[in-house]
Amino acid sequence: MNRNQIGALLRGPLAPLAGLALVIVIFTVWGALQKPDVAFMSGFRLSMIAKQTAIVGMGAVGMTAVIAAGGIDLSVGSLLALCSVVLASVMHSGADPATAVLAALLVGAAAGALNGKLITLLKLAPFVVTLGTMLIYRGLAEQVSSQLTVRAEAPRWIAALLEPVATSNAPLVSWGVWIVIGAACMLSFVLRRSVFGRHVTAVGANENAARLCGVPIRSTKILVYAIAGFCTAMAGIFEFANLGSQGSPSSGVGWELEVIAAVVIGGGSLSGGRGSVFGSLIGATMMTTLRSGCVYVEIPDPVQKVVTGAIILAAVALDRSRAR
Amino acid sequence: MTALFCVRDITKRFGATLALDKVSLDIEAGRVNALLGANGAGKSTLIRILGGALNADSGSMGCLGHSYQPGSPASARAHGVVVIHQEPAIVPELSVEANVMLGCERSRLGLVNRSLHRQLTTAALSRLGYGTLNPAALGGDLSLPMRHVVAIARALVLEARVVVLDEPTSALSTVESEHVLAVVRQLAAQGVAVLYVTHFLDEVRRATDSWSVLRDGRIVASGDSGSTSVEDLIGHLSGRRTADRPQRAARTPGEVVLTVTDLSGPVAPRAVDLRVRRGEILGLYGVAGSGRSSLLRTIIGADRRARGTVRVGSGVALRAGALCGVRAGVALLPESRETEGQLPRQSVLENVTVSRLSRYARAGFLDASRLHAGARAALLDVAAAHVELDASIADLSGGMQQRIALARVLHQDPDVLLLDEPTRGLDVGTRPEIYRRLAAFAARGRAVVMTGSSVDDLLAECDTLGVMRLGRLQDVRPVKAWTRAEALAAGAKAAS
Repeated sequence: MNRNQIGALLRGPLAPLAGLALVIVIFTVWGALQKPDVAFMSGFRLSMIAKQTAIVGMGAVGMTAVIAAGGIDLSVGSLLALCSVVLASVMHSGADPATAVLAALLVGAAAGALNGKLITLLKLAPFVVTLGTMLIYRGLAEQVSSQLTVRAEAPRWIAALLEPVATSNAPLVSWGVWIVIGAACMLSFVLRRSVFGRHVTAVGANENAARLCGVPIRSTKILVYAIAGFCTAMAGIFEFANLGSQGSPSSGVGWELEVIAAVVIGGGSLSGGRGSVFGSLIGATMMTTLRSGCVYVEIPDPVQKVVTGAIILAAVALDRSRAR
Repeated sequence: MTALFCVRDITKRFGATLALDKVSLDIEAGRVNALLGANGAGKSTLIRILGGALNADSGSMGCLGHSYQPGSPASARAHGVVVIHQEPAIVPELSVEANVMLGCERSRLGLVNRSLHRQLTTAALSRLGYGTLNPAALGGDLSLPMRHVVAIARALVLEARVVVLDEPTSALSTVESEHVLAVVRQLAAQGVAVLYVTHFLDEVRRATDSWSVLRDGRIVASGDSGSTSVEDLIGHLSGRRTADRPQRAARTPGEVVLTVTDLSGPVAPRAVDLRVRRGEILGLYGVAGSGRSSLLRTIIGADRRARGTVRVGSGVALRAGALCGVRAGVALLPESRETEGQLPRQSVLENVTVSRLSRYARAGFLDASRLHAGARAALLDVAAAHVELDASIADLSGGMQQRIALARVLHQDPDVLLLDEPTRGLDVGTRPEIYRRLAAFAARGRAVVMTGSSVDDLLAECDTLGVMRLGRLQDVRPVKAWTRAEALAAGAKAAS
């Protein structure tokens, strides 16, 4: 492989991976200089990163489809809260935990489909529609939970979703992580190889052309947002486990932006037509690693925000240069 | 005497491709020089270098005796070199005056100097013979030829010394082209050196002083327009003498497959009745704004229908919406490739197959090898077999993009194929090739309806010709029953 090919790969599909590697190297070296007794990539930190990545990554998987279709979904942060309080409330009312999980997933998918339905029906920009539903879903979450955190007695298979499986040798691998990876594989395959997946890219690349080609625009969009809603509901279940079997109506404020940033860092184009599910997962990992690393080398929170913002800008600038 | 603008040994390489190979060119003040070339000959590259959008690898340029090295389009403008593209940059929301002054606004105390603007605009338009154009009219309401007039007026306000026009007439009807050509002559009469890029060889004699032919990145011939025949030019363009148009294969029209009754849109079309048979190619001639595009778009359902019915085969009347049209076996190649004719930044494969994916799917998932084979066959159909399926559509030349768009609608295999300006932007060498494929498609029992701006092409390639004017279908006759003059007169805008 010559230098040009490596360069093309680094600018193309491998760019997010290279970014992630860079972040890890920087913090490892920095840490080795600053606190030689505590390694950056310790088991504790890795499991923290894995936990946070599972939540953001789950959302990013669904958001990839939305962004590839030329849309955006700002309501996922609120929906995350709604799904987790629905889960907690149903469980708290004494229903079977499996029913509660099903209810949360159903609410997520339905709320997502509603986003898609409104976008196609009102012919409004996804940004505006989901800005509206962002408030609506947040309000519903507060209503369902009476503005209080809902505690529930969850069985272990839910409560420990993000805990590393005890018998495993690998410290990272919780059921949650497996679920994210499984969902990513499925969605990636669907986007690449199914008729629906091709339609998603076509709608994202040029909706007018796609319409003239007989692509069913409405159903494609509705399904895409429903997938995003479903993935958000999964993330809501993770969040519930992460908070120690609690559903909080104030969860996920600003989470939608983290998710969108993960997709963009992973190579998704906000002008549509392009998005990589695995890229988004790497983007999510990069964001959580960065946050964890900043805590580790004791970068104060304000600086950490500035750094994260700069990285998102760099990723978008890279995206633009690739589009040209 | 040295020319006002000269290009010396310009060379440009893209990767392994030598796009321009030591191109030299002189353009004198007050003269129109035609630049001709087949698709992919390097015209676009040369224009981009002249306009400062691209840097040459080697060679030099000079303007008014000084060295000219634009680093950007803005610096090209500052040197007095203006490039006007096929679709001129007109902001629809701004007035004619604001459009003329766009990028060269004059201000007083930070505010736009409106009286000076009005004065400069009117002066520039009058110099082109369009002093009566209302400066307050909106850019979006202008017809395509008038947009060219506005763009050319802008060049005058900028005090351009060199103006490059990139195929201004390729989307215009025969009559409209005359207006633009007259304006181009006016522009040269102001002492401007004009480089006029075109595909239409008959324009060379009518409107230019000299010509140069670009082939495979080289200037292969040039001369005076007065002493050159169209046949000579074709020879230079293709590198060989061309034979006459091949004889058309006989087609026997079958049953009626498209029935349009009293079809009206909000503006156009107006009460159109139409019947097209299997195996028939129907041409629709009309000036821009005559409603020919609206008619095609309303038939497939892409534009709203106010009244009337569309029936495909013996089926029931179509419901509204492009999706229903496509499912009923209608395909449309839209006029504007950029806005709705292709999927930008996607691969050739994706572009060719998007309208008929389910053909290659089992349980919703695609069979990659069959998909590739299908796309290959479709490319073969438009003489583009050498194009890589993985290539991004954006990396292909305009002419090739048009062929890919055509491959898509043929691959859709519709009963009724609607083509809005199918050969727009294609060179003289490619057009007959495309027409041949369309004829073969019709011979397989499909109906083709195509619009065109060139009466001659339509009369040569179609079985039936309809002329549109002001949204109405004026007259439909077999081509043998039309004369060129009759068709032009029927479509003329100013006809009483």
